[in-house]
Parts: sequence; C-alpha cells; structure tokens
Amino acid sequence: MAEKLPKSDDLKATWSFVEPGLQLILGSDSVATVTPKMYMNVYTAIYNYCINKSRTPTQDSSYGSGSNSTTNASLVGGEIYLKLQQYLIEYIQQLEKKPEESFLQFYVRRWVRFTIGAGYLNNVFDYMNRYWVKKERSNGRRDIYDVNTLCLLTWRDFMFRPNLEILLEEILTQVELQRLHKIELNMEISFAIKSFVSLGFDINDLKKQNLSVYITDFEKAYLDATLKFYTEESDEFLETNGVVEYMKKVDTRLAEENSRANIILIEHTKRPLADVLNNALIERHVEVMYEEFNNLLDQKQTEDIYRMYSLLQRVPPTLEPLLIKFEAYVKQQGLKAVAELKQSQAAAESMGAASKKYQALLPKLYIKTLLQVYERFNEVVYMAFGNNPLFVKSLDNACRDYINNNSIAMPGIDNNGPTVFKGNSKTPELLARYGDTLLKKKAKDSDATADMSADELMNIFKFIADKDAFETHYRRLLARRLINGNMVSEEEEESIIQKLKEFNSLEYTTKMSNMFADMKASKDLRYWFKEQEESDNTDLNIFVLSQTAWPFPQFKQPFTLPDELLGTKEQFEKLYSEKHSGRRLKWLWNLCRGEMKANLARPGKPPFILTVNLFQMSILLPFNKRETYSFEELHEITNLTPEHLESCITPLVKYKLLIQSPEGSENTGKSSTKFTVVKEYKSKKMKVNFMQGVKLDQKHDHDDAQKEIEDDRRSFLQACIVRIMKARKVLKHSALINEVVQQSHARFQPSVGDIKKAIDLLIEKEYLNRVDGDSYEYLA
Amino acid sequence: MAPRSVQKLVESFKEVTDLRDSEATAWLTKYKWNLEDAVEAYLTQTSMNSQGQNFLTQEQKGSLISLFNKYKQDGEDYIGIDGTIQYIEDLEFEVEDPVVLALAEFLESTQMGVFERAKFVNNWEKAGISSIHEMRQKVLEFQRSLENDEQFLKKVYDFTFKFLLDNNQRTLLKDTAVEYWKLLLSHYFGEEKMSQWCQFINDEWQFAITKDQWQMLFLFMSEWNQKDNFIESYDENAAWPSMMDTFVEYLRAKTSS
Repeated sequence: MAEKLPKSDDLKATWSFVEPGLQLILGSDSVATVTPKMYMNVYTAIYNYCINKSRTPTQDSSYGSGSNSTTNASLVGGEIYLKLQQYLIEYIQQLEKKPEESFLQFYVRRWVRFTIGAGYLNNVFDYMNRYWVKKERSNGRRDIYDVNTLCLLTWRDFMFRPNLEILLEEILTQVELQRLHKIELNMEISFAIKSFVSLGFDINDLKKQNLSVYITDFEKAYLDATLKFYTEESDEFLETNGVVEYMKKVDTRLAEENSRANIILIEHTKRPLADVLNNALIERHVEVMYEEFNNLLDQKQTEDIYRMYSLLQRVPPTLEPLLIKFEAYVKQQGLKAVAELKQSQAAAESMGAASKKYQALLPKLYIKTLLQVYERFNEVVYMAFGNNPLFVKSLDNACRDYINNNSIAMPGIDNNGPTVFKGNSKTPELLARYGDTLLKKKAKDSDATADMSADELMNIFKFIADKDAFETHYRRLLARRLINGNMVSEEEEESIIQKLKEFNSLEYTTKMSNMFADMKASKDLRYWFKEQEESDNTDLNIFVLSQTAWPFPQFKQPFTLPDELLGTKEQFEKLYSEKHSGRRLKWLWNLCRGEMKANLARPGKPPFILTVNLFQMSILLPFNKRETYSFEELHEITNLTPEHLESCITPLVKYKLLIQSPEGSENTGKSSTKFTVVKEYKSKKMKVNFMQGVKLDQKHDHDDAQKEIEDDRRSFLQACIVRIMKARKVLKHSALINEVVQQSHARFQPSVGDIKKAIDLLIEKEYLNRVDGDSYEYLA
Repeated sequence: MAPRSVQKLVESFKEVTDLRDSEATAWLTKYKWNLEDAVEAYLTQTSMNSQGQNFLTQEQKGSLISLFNKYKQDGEDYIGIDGTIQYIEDLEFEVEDPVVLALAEFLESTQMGVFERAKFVNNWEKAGISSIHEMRQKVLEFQRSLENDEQFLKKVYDFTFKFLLDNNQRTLLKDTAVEYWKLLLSHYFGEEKMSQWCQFINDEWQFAITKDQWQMLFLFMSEWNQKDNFIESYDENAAWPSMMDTFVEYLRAKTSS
C-alpha cells in the first residue's frame, strides 16, 4: 500500500487503490492489520475522488436520481457508493464458518468484528456520507444510507436473513441448556441477540431505534420457548415434589430468569417475559396453591405462606381467593377456640368444680381466647403478608365475625349459619367484666390479673359491634368500683376511658367522665360537710351522684332509717339544700354500708370492727338496748320486707353474731323466730365482713342493663331519623335506612326492622309522613 | 291600547257572553285583554255557579229539608242514632251494610250515627237529590262502586278509620279494626286473604292499630291481590310498616310448617 495515491478522477484506479484497505478494515482472515498510514491513504483517496468529481461535473452524472443535473453538479458519490455496496455483498458472502465452530460462534465472531469495521468504514467514507448521502436523502431517496447503515443492512440481507432459522435455533438451544444448568451463561448469545436489535431500522429516521426485527424475529420465539419450557417443567416438578418445594423452585427460577434477562435481553422484553413466567409458573397452578394454603396455616409455616403470597402478588387477581380463604380460616379458628373453651368449662363444671369460680374466671379466659386467635393471625398478616391492607381488612372482618358471634356470645345460634347480629351478643358484657377483673382490687394473694392489660381490652374493643352495650355494662361495673372504693388505680381507670374516647367519640364516654366528676365533687363536699358539722361523732362518707349518668335505679322498698343515723341525714339534707337550692336528694339506701365497733371481744382485747350494709346496721343497732328480738320485732323496727330482712339477717346468723332460735335456715324468716346477740364473738380476724353473704340480685341487674341498652337504642334511632329528616325534608326509604345504619355504626348495628319500628313510631307521632309510597317527608 | 281595538275586543266578548260593556271590560282587563282566556274563565265560572246554586228548585230544596227534619233528633240540629236507623231502613238497607260507611263518607259524618244538618242538606243538594227514592239510587251506586272501584273503596276505607275513633283517640282497638276490615275488605280482596290477616291480628298482634298501619294495609292487600308471589317475594327492607314484616314472617312460618 505504499504506492502513490490514484488519480482523483479515475474511479477504477481509486477503487483498486482502496479495496485492499477495505478488506482489512472489515476484517479478513489474514494476519495483516490496518495501519494508520493505510487508513489515511484510503480516506484521502476517497476524499480526493469525491472532491475532484464534484469540481468538474461530468455528463455521465450520478447514480440514482440524476434526472436533474444541476442538483448533482457539485456532489458526486453515486458510482463509488454502488461499488461499495457491491463490495459489501461480496465480502459478506465469502465469509466462512470454521469447521470446529458452531454457526452461532461463527456468527457472533464475525458480527462483532464486522460492526467495528462498519464504524471505521463509515469514517473512511466520511466525505461521501456528509455530502452526497445527505443530499440524496434530503431529496427523498430512502434507499441511500450512510455507510454504517449500509453495512448493517447488507449484513441483514446477506448474512442474517438467510441464516435466521439456524441462528435462532442455536440461540434457543443455548438458553435451554442454560436453563437445564448444563452450560454457564455466556456472552455469545447476548451478542447474537443484540444483533437483532441493531438490525432493525426506521427507514425514515435512521437514528431512531427500531425493534421490529428483535420483536418479530426473536422475542416471540423466545417467549414461546420459555412458556413451553416452564409449562412442562412446572407440571412435572409439582407432580413429584409437591407445592411447598415447588414454590421454592419458582422463587429460584424467577430469580434466574430475571438475571438472564438483565444480561441477554433488552428492557422491552421484561414485561411480556414476566407475563409468560407468571402464567406458566403461577396462574396455571393457583388452584393447588390455594389447596395447600390451609395446611400451611395449620402448620404455621409462615415462611411458605410468605412465599405463596409473594408469588401470587405478582398476579394481583390471584390474591382475591386467598383473601377469602384467609378470612374464612381465621373465623373458623376463632369459633373453634371458643367452642373448645366452652367445652372445657362445661367439663370442669360437670366435674363438680365450683361453678361460681368458673363464672368469675370466664371473662378473662374468654377474652384471652379471642385475643390469642387475633394475635396469632395478626402476626401472620405482618410476617407473611407484609401488612398488606387487603389482608389487614380480611383479618378485621374475620375477627369482627367470631368475636361478636360465637358459641359463648350467642349460645342459641348456629355458628355455621349466615352472619347476622340478631339478638344480643354477650361479648360486650364479657369484655366489660374482663375490664372489671383487671381494674378491681383483688384478694391479696391473687395475681390473676398479672397477664391482663388495658391494651388487650382495647384490642377486642375495636371489634365489638355493639359498642353501646359495652359502654352500658362497663359503666355499671365502673359505678360499683367507684362507690365501693375498690379500684386498683384511678390513673388506669382514666387512661382506659381516654382510650375509649379516642377510639369512639367524646360523646361515648360522657357519662363515665361525669361519674368521675361526681366522685371528685363528692370528695370536696365531704370536707365541706365536715367543717359545717358541729358534732363529729359520725364519720360520713357521702357521694352525691347525678341520676342521669349513674346506673343505679331508685330505691323504692320500705325502710326506716335508725334514729342513730337520722340526725346526720337530716343535717346533711338541710345544709345541702341551702348550698344547692332546687336539687333533690334521693337516698340509695341499698348501696350504703358502714363499719360498726362491737364490744364483744374477750375482756382486755380490742373491739371487733364489723363491716355491714345499712340494713344490717339497722338490724344490729337495736341490740344495744336488748339482747333478744323476734323476727317480727325486727321487721317492725326496720320496716324492711320479710324477704329482704331475711337475706340480710342470714349472714349475721351464719357467722354466729346472732344466735337464732329455733335453728335452721327454714326458720330464719318466721315471725316468731328469736335472735339473740352473742356475749363474746369468736373470730380470728379483727375485721369481719357480713356483706358478702347477702344475696345480690344479679339477674335483675343484668336485665336492667339490657333494658337500658334497648331503650337507649330506641331513642337513638328516633333522634337519628329526626335529625336526618330535618336536614333532608324528603327522603327515600332505602336512603334513610342507609344513612341511619351509617350513623349508628359507631354504637351498634341496627336491624332494618328496628329502624322501621322507629319510623312507624315517628309517623304515629306525626314527625314524619309517607309520600309516594316509598319516601318520607319531615313534618316541622 | 288603542281605543278602537279595545272596543273591538269588548264587542267580541259581548257576542259570546251577552254581558254589558262595563262587565265585559272588567273581565277583559282581568285577563290582560286576552280574549280567549277571558271568555274561557267567564264560562268556567258561570257554569260552576249555576251548578252550585241551581241544582234544586225551591220546592225540591223544601222537601229535602223536611226529609232531614223527619229524622232529626228532637231539640238538636242533627240526625241521631234512632233517626239514622230509621233513615237507613227507609233507604231499604241493613245498618250493618258497608255501604252505610260510604254514605257516611258522602255526608261527611264525623261520628257513628250522627248526620249534621248542614252536611246532610249541602251534600244532597250538590248532588241534585231531594227524595228518598233518589237517595236510594245514589246509595245503590255507592254499593256498586265499593265492589269494583278500588279508588272509591280506598276513600271510604281511609275515612272509616277517623270515623271510628272517639274524640281523643289516636289508635283503633284491634277488635274494632278486625270487625271493619272484614266488613269493608273481605269482599273486594277475598275472604281467604282477609281472614288470614285477621287471624294474625287476633293471635299475634298485641297493640292498637295506628292510622299508618290502617292505611298501609289497604296498599298491602292491593299488592297481594295483584301479585301471585307477593308473599314469597316480599322484601322486609322495603318501606312497609314493620307490622307487615311480622305478618309475612308469620305467614311464611305457617306455610313452611
């Protein structure tokens, strides 16, 4: 290549001069390499040719569009372009595969070299590219290309197309071998696949990427092969290894495919590939996964559940059945746990265990049972479902279901039936009693409440459907704790009320807050009363409670207050009415209790302190005057009904403070029976409590609570309807029902029947009127 | 408006109505000189007036009043119990006939066995009726309507509730209600359906009947009468009073057992 540059106007000479160089640039099997000098010579020869020709336009004109000679007058390149095109075809056609290499290897080897060469070639023909090609293309010639593109197109048409089938086959075979882990991932196929990308062109804008070759000639075949491979593999693998192993396998497979795709494929394929994999590996096998789900829950295989979840999550619609299964499972577990508790209770009772003790334990055991199920699956939702809101909701639904409606809460109702909250669930009451157990001072030795907490109470509270029922029961028990002074801590009490308020509403806890306010006011009142009082021989611990907030029904039975207490009572009433004119005091004698000093101890010992209720006190006080009274006489003195008198006197006899004659409980209530106070009382304890033996009417209390709840609901519904109708004036029946249900939601779940009864009543009271058959109007 | 066209309108109005100029002008002014409107309003009003005032001749009205006097209670201005019984008898109907309720509705009676003079005279007069014979024809007409005109039956039925109440009562004793349900509705809605309803009230219902319940029962019966599977497809969530829910539940329990 040391010869002189050819004459610039001689095409043939020029071409002969550059051809050997072109061969080297594109790559030949010879050992010779491109030298900078040669490169420069070739470039210059082509440059000279183009320049010279352009300066002296010739009549033979140019290749292509030469109809208008003036346009081509100064730009020449057509002949040499044709020469080059012809040369490229010949060059590619003479490439040969070595005997020891596969077609793929040959293709990739040549392709890599060729693309580098094409780049150089493009530079060598730079002048032609910049002037002649550009001019031709801007004149609308779409079949003239820059030299790089020309190289690639020629490759496409004379190497790629004729060999596409074998190329594709070898690529796919390589991929399959990789999938079977017979060979490592290698870069060869990556180059081969990328050539599909490079060979796509947008005829109108050569710089724009065009994936048509990649998509039609490669991607589709790749996806088909993938689908086929995994369809077969997954069927077989599942058959032999089962779901759990299969899911692990899928995990690995998906990771492998992902890293393969990153290396050999382009971004475009990721979505369709994921679809194919999801279909072959997941969607086709969801049913067996669903079937396995309950087993995994049974065996608490959180990791496998997580795996199943993350697989199904790749195809969101497949999660829906899992949600349903999960909800049903949690519900069933909840019901099962409660049923077991019920059975063990029943067994314990039939074994003769003191049923009273079990009754007292029930709230705690029951709430604990409910909680355990909730906590177990709350953890599953957290660990396996990543707190996915859909699963949180399913868990909530299931919990609301089994917590409100189970064999203990609704003994009469078949739990397999549809979920309707007909009748009243016992859960609110049991939860209130759980709270009472937690918050009430316990017997000294007991640490039964060590594992109970306000948080547990709140966890169940949020699932309670009848929040109003809980409030009523809780408030009744709170009232007893407050006036009996057996709270564990006031802060704890108030913090629970604070939580209830936050969770529900300010209104929800109004009554309870008022009760605390009454307690504080009563305390101040007591100090004030003490100051006012002239004599202080009585230690009066009085509570003044507002009737609306406290659940104590008026005391209506006959009773005569002993003279000893009458003075204090009257004095208090007088002073109180001076302080607050217009307020009326009603005395709840049935809630009063007191301590009495009894000088019945052996001489030299301190007196006994007897804790008694007010009625017992009124029975005992007369014994200061005489030693013996008949039942009839006590009845006259106290004015208590015989039944009431008998129930109060029984513990006094039982614990041997009074001696009954004749003996026997059947005689206690007979009017002639005599009671004599002992001369010397025998007890190891200095303080004796006689109140515990008095029978309390608990059933009555429960009915009261139930009645209160129902009355409140009735008036709530009526008020709610009036409020809605006042705002809307006219409303359709169904819309009204919906609004009422919505507004009641935070308190209870009203039935349509209850709402309709309230509507009937309001029509009757002429608050509402029917219009058009299914609407109501508000009558102001 | 130009005097000439005014005059023209007045003339046209007079052609139709036969009124004096001043009266014609007044009508036309009232209807903003729209001839058609004015004529129509005039004709409507005058025809109404003549109906109201000229239905009975003086002579006829006299006999209507003496008819009232014949039955009216001594010293009072209304027909009392005895007079009513006699009146019904003279009309050749039984006192227990449901048509008596239609008559009571027609004569705007407020209470069982009481027909006030003004209501009696005005209502018969409006109908152009003055003799006992014509009255019987009218009552026969009521009787036919009770049998085949649901709107008419409903009017009489709704009237009956208020008619049966004592002064300060708001609800009807269930026994009374049952008695009148049978009397009024059995024929129209069928013996079987009514007796099912009445049996339900007798056996299961413990309250007095409200106006709403009374009125809604008619619609309930009407739908039951029209739809074959009304009870099967009854929707408790619809706007029926809850009493109907209870009844349907009762019926369904009865059929399933």
